[in-house]
Amino acid sequence: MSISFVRIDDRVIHGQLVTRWAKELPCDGIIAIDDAVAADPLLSSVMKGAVQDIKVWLFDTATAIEKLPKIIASEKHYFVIGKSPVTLKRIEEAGISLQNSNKKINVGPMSARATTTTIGPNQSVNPEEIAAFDYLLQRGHQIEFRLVPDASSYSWQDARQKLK
Amino acid sequence: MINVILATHGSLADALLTSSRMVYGELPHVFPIMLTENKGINSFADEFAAVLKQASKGADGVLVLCDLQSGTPWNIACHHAFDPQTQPPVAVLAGVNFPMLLLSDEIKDLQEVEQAAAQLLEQTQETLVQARLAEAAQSDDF
Repeated sequence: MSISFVRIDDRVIHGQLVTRWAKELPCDGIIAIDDAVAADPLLSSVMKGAVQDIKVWLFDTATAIEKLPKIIASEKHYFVIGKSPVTLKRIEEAGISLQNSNKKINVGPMSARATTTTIGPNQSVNPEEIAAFDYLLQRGHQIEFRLVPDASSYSWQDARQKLK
Repeated sequence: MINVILATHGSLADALLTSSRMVYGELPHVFPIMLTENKGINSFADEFAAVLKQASKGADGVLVLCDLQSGTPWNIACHHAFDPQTQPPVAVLAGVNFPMLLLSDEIKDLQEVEQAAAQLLEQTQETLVQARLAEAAQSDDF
């Protein structure tokens, strides 16, 4: 298994945050997945340029689904970062397992938007994201909301209580 | 454990902490203190001593992050840092910025405050960067 960390972060490559995690867990490269960012070559290039010393790939979801089997088969250790749980749901629906050596899906910032409910500090979810988290939980993933390695955390089950 | 005092002119310390909550969440190891126009230097010095006492509890060292070298917060922090009676030891850095405050989260588990100061200074220097574009081509050598 070569995925060492799976994260949801709506800033995708969040410079200092991703390097913080890379100090904690083995990371030979970062696979960032988002359709909108991948479709914007300028933003893609700026995001990739923001991380030094670690190789970054930025894919749309369809390309990620095509590339992930090779990435998972690699001897190296990769971080997989999706902008939204909906992206990760689509990847698992395509038959690719996001099980990883960190044994969970980590969730970082998810900004408040029009239809979102706040579940934690800088963490808000909309109905589509709620359904995606439910799906990922059903698929056997532990889902942990934690901004940085030492910060306090809560699980999707904890968050679910606040949504009732 | 290293605790951090964030000592600034005006409301910068509180503002930096508010911003850091958006990115890292709470930073319970950070104690803000601010010099304001209506509070004189003497009352700031008293307040600093009280905050230092609080930050020293259970800590192996206290690292003071000042906004500006040779400003009042810096002068008062240095007064404590270079007093041989001060326990636990205090170290002082100037030029605090947002990344430095966030990165202080990574030195809080160290024990030597001098080492914590050196490490934080080195890591912060890397945060002063100019935007650049990465190569567009993506290889398949995973």
